[in-house]
Amino acid sequence: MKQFLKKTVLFLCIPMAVMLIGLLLPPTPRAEQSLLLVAPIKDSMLQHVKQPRIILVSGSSMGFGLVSQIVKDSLHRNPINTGIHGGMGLYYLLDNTAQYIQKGDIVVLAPEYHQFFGDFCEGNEELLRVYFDNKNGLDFFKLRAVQLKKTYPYIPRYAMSKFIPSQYFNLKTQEFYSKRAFNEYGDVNQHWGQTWPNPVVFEKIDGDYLNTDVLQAVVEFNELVKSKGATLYFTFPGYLEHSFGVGKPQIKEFEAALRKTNLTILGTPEQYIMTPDLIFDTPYHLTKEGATKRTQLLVKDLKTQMQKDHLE
Amino acid sequence: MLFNSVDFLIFLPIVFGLYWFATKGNLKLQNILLLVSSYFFYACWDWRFLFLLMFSTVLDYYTGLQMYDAQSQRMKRFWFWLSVCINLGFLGVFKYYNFFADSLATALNGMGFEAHFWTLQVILPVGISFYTFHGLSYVIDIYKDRIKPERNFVDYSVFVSFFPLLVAGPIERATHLLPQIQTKRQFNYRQAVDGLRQILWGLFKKMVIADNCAEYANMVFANSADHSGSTHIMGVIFFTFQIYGDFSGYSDIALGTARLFGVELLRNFAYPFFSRDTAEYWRRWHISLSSWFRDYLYIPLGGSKGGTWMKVRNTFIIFIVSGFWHGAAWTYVFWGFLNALYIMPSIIFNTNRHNMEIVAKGRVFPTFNELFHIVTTFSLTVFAFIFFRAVDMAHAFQFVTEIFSMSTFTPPKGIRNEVVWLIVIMLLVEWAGRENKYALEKLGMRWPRPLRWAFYALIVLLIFWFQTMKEVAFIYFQF
Repeated sequence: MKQFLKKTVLFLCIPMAVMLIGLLLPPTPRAEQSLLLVAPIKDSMLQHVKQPRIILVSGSSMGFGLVSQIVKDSLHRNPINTGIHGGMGLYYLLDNTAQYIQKGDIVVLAPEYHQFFGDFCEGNEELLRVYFDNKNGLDFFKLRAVQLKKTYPYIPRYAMSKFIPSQYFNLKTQEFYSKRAFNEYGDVNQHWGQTWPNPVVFEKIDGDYLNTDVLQAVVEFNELVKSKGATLYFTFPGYLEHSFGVGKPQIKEFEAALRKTNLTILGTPEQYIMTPDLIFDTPYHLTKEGATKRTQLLVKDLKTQMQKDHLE
Repeated sequence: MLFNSVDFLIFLPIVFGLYWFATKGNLKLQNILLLVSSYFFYACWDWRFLFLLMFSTVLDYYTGLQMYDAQSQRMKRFWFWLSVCINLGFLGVFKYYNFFADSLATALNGMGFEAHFWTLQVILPVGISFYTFHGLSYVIDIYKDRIKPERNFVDYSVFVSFFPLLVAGPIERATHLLPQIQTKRQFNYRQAVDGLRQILWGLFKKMVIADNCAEYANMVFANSADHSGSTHIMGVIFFTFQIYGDFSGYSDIALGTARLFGVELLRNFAYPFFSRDTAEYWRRWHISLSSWFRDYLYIPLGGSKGGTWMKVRNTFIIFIVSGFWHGAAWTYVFWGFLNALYIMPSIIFNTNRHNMEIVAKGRVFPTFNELFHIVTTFSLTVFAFIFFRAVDMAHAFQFVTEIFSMSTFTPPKGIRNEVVWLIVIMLLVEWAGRENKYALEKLGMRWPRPLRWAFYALIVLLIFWFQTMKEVAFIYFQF
């Protein structure tokens, strides 16, 4: 038995050592082109953009769904579009934004519907990569327990990626999914003027239950924003009409739960339904025309609410 | 708790440690520990169904004793049928009630009658088909005086619920497993190492082959109207490798895990894709179920003793029942029927036992003739799996129609080359190890240890890299 245990442990040391080396190696050239690389840049914007500010928080539906210049011109506030990738999870988006909120900020939260179902809000491989490739890897271990539980299984795969040839060669990627995709406000604009041949269509929203914990996290985020002398508005992402139709029962369930909270909610989910011609490559990613339409709707809602709240 | 989950990665070493260290080789304690662990393992899915498992265990244990102690043949028959009816009754209610209610309503409505039946909103208890058949084999063997009943309740309960086989087999026999449970087990280094190797290969087949093939197969079957005939063909081929990787991978993990506890389970797969005809295929695919049907249905029906007509009838019966065992849907029934058709020529011409040895035994390559037969048998298997995987019969026929359309002559879309390479690697390793119980059993045994360990470590790293990061349940759990 001793021999068995000794040899088993000894054998397990081989893959463990390979993984450790993988973790310690610098980010691969492919990872260095990834759009996740803008996470520290967006953090820097949150730190340094001057008042009056409006911070727009979500995943890629915000990155690919906003024309910040319109926001700036209409509301006379400096926009910071923090949207990068929904796979980082809403918990990350809330916690990361929270540390940079300043007095007088207006925070607009418009998460993808997927963030409220199942465990999507806890993040995926992208969350791990944000820390290990772009931030301090040790900070990863300071995440919420649920985020760690969800994402640590990606560690071996991440470590292994350092040894995969495709991470070093033939690095051509779509510009709109690279670190060069963003403008000075944080909007993805590399795809503006382009069309995508076969956009992905989501059917039912993944995740078989409405996650009330994440709703509670949003409510707590609202309290924190208020305590810092800022204001939070909740609104909805632009979403392809077919996917909206299929996911409607879930979206309505989510909306009903949302309206029971004390959050200030702008508009309705239906208002932000997008026809196929306004969609780029996924149901949340909008073309320039789609992003313009979505921004105009948002600005209209914001103006009305800000007047009510005497924030203009 | 899935074999490919972190939970199991924690559960297994704990039970292993307690089993060999805390029980100090005491058989009674070992069996109690196995029973408690098995119930915990099962309760992780849904603790409520644990009571169903316990009830089934008590029922078969009690009726087994009553049959053996019965004073008359009449009483023996009474206890036997009581057990059979209750066991099949549970299976019927949980698995088949809705199917029969819907089918009857559809048939009556088709004849102009307005019929509605209540359908049950029930979840299928995981593993019910497996542990029911497990218990039935025990009861039937006692009834037929093949075995004596087990009087130790803990030992019998371990036989039914031993966690490696509890949810998806292999379907064990009392004659094989019970003596092992009753015998003192001592740690055997070679057996344990062998077990770990088999678990490793099982995990590779499940997490690398099956889960990656599943992504493509699911995409094709979910939106089959959007794809060409060639993509349909690739979709069903990927599904064939998915189900093989999934179920044979599960079986390897189950057998390997059992070995860690000093228990040898029945073999469930023996390289079915290298079969030269359908009869050989069915001797190599889901062996514990095929042999169950052979022993408890085919032979009692008369087997092959009553001439060709009897053989044909009995073969159709067992294949259709086997299809129905897999699921309450006409697609499974048709899948069984199709396999019966495939095997018919060898039944009629009495050639079903021509290929008893593994192909190309003692040689590196098969002959051209062998290869031709392997490819033909595999193609037939793939075709039948269309019906196994399709949502319903209309979907299956639409799928088949698309395969026989002109779009089959266009290149298939969406295939990840690396998955194809992984399938090739799996087939090569399985081919190299086809004369052994499982592919890795003797592969690399003559290599220097560093090379052998590097090979195993490479498999671990391939699992890390190619895992799909979703804990995908094993397909056979639904049966």
